[in-house]
Amino acid sequence: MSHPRHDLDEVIHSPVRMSIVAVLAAADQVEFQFVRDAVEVTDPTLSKQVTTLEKAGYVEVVKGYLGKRPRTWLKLTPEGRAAFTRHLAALKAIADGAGMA
Amino acid sequence: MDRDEAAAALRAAESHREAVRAVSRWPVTILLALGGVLFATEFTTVFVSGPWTFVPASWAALCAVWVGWYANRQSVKPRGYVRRYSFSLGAGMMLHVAFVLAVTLAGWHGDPVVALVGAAVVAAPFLIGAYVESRAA
Repeated sequence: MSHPRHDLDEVIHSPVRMSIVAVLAAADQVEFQFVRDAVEVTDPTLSKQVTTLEKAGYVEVVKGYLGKRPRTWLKLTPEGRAAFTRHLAALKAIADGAGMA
Repeated sequence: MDRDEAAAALRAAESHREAVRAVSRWPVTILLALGGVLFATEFTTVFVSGPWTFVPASWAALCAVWVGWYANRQSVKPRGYVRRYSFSLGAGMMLHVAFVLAVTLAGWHGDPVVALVGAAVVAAPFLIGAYVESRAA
C-alpha cells in the first residue's frame, strides 16, 4: 500500500497556490482582487502563482470590464477542480494517519 | 508532510472556502428583492388600468436595473447560480403572464383576494429561489 503523500499534487502543494485553489474551488469565478485580499499576497505574487496554475491547466483567466474599468476573473478548470479534490483526499488520508502502519 | 501539517492545510482550505461562501450569498438579496417588488407590482396591477399600469410596471423595471447593477459589482460568482436564478425568473415570468391573462379574461379586476393570492403565487418562485440559494453550498 503506497503512502498517501504520493497522491499530493505538486502544483497545488505550495501553500500560496493551495490557498488560491481553495478560494477558487468555493465559487464559479472569483475576481482577482478578491483572491489577492483573501490569500493576503501582492498583485505580482498572485499573478506569478496564477500563471503557474494556468500552465498546469488548473486555472483559467477571464478578462472583462465594469464600465471602463478592466476586471480579471479567475476560474478553476474541471481539471483543476479534480486535482484539488484528489489533493484534499490525500491530505485527509495523511491527517487520518493512513499509510502510517 | 506529517499529520499535523496535513490537518493544518485542510483547516486553511476550509477557512478560505468559508470566506468565499460568506460573500457568495448576494443572489439571495436579489431574489428577495425581486420577490418583494413583484408581489407589490402584481398586487397593484389588479387595481389599476390604462396608463396607470405603467406605475407598477416601472417598479419592476427599476428593480431589474438595480439587479443588473448589483450583480455586476460582485466579486464572487457562486457555482450554478445562473441556472438556479434562471429557473426562478422563468417560472415567475410564466406565472405573471398566466395571472394577468386570468385577471383579464375572468374579469377579476379590483378583487383584493385575487390580487393577494395572485401576487403571492407570482412572487413564490423568487422567494423559494432565495431559500434554495441561501442553502446552496
